[in-house]
Amino acid sequence: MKKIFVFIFAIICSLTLVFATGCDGFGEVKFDPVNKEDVKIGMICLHDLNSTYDANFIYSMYNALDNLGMSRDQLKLFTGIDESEDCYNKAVELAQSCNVVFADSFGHEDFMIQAAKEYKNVRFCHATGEKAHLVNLNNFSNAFASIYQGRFLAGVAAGMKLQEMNKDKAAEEQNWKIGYVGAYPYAEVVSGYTSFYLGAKYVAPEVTMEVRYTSSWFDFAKEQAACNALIANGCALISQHADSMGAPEACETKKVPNVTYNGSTASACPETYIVSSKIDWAPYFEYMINCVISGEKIATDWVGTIETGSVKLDSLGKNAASGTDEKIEEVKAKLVNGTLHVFDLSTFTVGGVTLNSVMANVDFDEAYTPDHEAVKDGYFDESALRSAPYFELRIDGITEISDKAN
Amino acid sequence: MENNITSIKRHEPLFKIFKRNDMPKWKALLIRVCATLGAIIFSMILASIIIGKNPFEIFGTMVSGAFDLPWRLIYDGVVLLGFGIAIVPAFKMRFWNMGANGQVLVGCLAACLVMFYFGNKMNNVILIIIMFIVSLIASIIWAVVPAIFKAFFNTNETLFTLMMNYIAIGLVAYCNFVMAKGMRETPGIINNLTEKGWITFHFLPPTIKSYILPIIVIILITVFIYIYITKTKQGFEVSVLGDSEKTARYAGMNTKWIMIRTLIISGIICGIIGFLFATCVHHCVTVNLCGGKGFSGILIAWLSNFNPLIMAGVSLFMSFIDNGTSSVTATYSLGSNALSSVIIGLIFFAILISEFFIRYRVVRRQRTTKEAKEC
Repeated sequence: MKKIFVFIFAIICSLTLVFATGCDGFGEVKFDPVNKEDVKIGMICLHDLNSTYDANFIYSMYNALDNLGMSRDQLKLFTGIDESEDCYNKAVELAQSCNVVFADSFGHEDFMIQAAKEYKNVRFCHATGEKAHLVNLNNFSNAFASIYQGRFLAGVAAGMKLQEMNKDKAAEEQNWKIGYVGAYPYAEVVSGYTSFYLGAKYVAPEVTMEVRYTSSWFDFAKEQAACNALIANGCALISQHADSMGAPEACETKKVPNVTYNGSTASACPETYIVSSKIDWAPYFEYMINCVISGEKIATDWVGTIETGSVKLDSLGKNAASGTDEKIEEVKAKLVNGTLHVFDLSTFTVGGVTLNSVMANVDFDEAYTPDHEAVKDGYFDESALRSAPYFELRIDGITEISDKAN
Repeated sequence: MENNITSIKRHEPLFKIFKRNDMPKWKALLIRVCATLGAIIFSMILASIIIGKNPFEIFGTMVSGAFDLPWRLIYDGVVLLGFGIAIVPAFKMRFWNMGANGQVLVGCLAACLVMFYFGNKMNNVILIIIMFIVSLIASIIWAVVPAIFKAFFNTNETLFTLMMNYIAIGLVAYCNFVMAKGMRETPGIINNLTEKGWITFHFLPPTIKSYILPIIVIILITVFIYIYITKTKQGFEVSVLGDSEKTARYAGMNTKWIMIRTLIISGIICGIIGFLFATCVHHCVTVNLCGGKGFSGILIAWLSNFNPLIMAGVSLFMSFIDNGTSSVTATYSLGSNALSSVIIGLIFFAILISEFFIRYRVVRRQRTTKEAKEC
């Protein structure tokens, strides 16, 4: 028995010695135009239609196909794919028959890059990722949208609601505290809650905010618990950046207004739903498919905006404050014509100081070292240097509570 | 007296189940094939109702999808075989080891931790050797602890090994969280750029290069276990202990040591699989790394009567069904994996039912009409 183990071990060691090193070179690959009818699209989703996050991608893809007059048979969709080797496997499987493969979750990125290196004649697109501008592959690209604008508008609706709730109260009875349930303490979430907060502050200067993390993107119980903890801590309004219905349903039970993300909860939570900001991925999918048809390169970093129709607000809930619609339209017009910026440095302070320069960590590295100046004309220019957000400042007025027990 | 007899007859159960050993092999095989085909036909009809396409087309998609990447299919089958083989020695001993999942998971975790923290600090060959050793140690610990408790305190090994799985899952989640510095769920692919601690064969096509070594190693392990179980003294001791512990003890065997030794072998196999996952295939560890493979492995071993050759066939069939149904859900963009789970469930249900009728004979109570007349 021992001999056989020694034998196996020896084989492994010798193979290692011989083959442990190796490297590929990357050449430029030109893509040929493809007939619209022959385009095959592969899609990899972390969860299935039960997750608001993935459902948003899947329905956007259906809309894009309908808008382009393509058949849904041209889509191959894998759902419930972990952020693991599984993603690489499915990407490879899709690469056998598809012209373009899209993955929707942040953690899929490494595995998509791995597949992109091996299948150079297939395009790989990844939402929310941050490495495309670093790996420099012709067939790998990132996409995101300037959702901070959408969150700012949702924040305006939240501020209006707080104004309405506090209107007839004496100064000492007023409550301007917002609660926010976040998944992880990294830029995508920080940028999101800060823009939401600044939106609320734009109409209600007194607001403060408390943020709690769940350390998970989809965990009904944890999101519900974090939401309840925020309400117990005196928050008058809740918003969240995580994918289950945990927080909205906790709000509906406790009758606390809720500003949601990635789709209206008006049917499930009619009493407390205020507004929902979301990314509509259909414009990106249309762009991506059109690039495949024409044989063009897909932009390494694509950012959707309000103007491209990528950043959207769902219709208001019945209990939103009156006048919210008009206010949102007014602010939206300012954001589009550039007279208002979400991260205007004059609207917030960090440690009591107004900043005039911010170094951001744009090029991913293990130590998260800041590497690029992100301030332009007095505002933090989010999503200009890469598609994924990189605003990571902790501004005054927002308290983060990291619960280690989670 | 007459009354007494009828009352006994009345209490006779409607169905009686007898063990049978007389079924000819060709007949048993025929029943299995028919049951499987029946389940496939039924599930294709079900799928065609749900999807709204013709069942032959769906079956075609399933077959072509499964054979799209033939190496992948073989690899998946061989990994399942590996999980099955890992539990064979313990099951031969009637030690119900439900913990193959956890044992592989900790093995892979140990290798990944070494790869992550020492990846850039030492020579690649030494790194890989250390990874191999720590994987074995971790997996052996996970397998042997329940065995020690069973040997000395007679604890229930089914529950114990099952619970060890959950500890392993928690440990993996925690270590990933620490490696990612609390910023992400996992650190992603470890040493993605440097490929330190990886064994990949870059001269091979991408569809084979990560799979070839695990395939070879697991097949070697299978051959080894087959020889160990059938041809060695230790293997004989294991089956004696499985048949009757008392016989083993009176024959002068050290039953405690045999139990522990056998679980060490299970641990070693799981450790090797975990190491191969870390170094050849996954290069990272996630809580769902094993999925349900540890349990599928039990099913495979049980269905095949622990015969490695049959186990290989069943494993390949399972991976075919798995890949095929997953391809069906993807091609028709169903947006959920529920249908593929239903199909897999139906097929295995049919196989298990047929297995029951092959191994047992069901006899209906006789003379019921006559009894009724007498009354």
